[in-house]
Amino acid sequence: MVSSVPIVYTIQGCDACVKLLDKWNAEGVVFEERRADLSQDIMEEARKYGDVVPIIRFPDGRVEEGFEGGIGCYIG
Amino acid sequence: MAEKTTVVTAERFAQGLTYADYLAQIKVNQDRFSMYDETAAEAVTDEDAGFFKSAVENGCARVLVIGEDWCPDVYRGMPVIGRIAEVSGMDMRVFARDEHLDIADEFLNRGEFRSIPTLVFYNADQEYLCHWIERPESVTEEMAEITKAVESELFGQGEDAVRDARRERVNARFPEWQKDTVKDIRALLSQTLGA
Repeated sequence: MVSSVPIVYTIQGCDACVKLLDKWNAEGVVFEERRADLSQDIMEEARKYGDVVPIIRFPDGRVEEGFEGGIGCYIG
Repeated sequence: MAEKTTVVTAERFAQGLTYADYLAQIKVNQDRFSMYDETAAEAVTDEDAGFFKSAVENGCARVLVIGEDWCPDVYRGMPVIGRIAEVSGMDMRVFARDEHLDIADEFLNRGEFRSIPTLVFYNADQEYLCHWIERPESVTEEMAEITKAVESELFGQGEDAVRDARRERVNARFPEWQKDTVKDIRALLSQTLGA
C-alpha cells in the first residue's frame, strides 16, 4: 500500500537520522518513522530499500539513503 | 598530577550483561548472531585459545564490549570476542551503546565517533589495559575494494543490483574477517602484555 506521507526508516543513535528528523520537525513535514532497531520485520523491510539509515521512501516511489551533514548507519 | 578518571568502575563493569544474557534480550538479527557465533567458533583455533588463556593468566582478566544489535560490525565481531572469552575464561560484559553513552564517550573512535563494537580490556583490578574499535583496518580496506569493484562491474544496472551484489560479496567474507579480527586482537594483546 502506498503511503501518502514519506516513510523514514531509522535507528536509535543514528546521527543522520536525528538530524533529518529535527529538520523535518522544524519544517512541519508530516512523515511516518519506522524504527528498524525495534523490529525484525521493519529491519527486513528497510533492507529492501537500502543499506544506510535514514532510508526515506517518498509517496512518488523515490528512495533516498542517508542525510547530508550527518553520519548514517549501515544496516545491510 | 591529576589521575585520569573513568566511568567504568569495577561495580559498573559488573553491571554489564554476560554475552548469553545479551543475546537473550536483543531485538533484531538473532539469526545473524547465531550464524556468526558458529563461524566464530571456527575462527578461534585451539592455538588461539592457548594464547588467550595465557593472556588471562598474564592479567587480561576482563573485557567490556560496547555494541548494538542492528550493526553488522557488531553481529560479526561480538561473536568473536564472545568465543575468545568462552575459551579463555575472560570475564566479558556487554553494554548497549545508546544506554551507556558515558562509556561510549570514553572510547571514541578518532576522538569523535561512537563506533561499535568497541572492546576494552582490563585486569582483575579494573585497571585499563587497551582497547580495540570496530574492525581491522584490512577489513575496512577490503570493504572499500568490494564496493568499488561492484560499482564498476554493475555500472548502469541500477542501485538495487549494486546493493544486492555488494551485500552478497561482503557477507561472504564475514567468516574470513572474523579470523582477521582474532589476529588483530591477538596482536593488540601481545603488544600490551608483552607476550
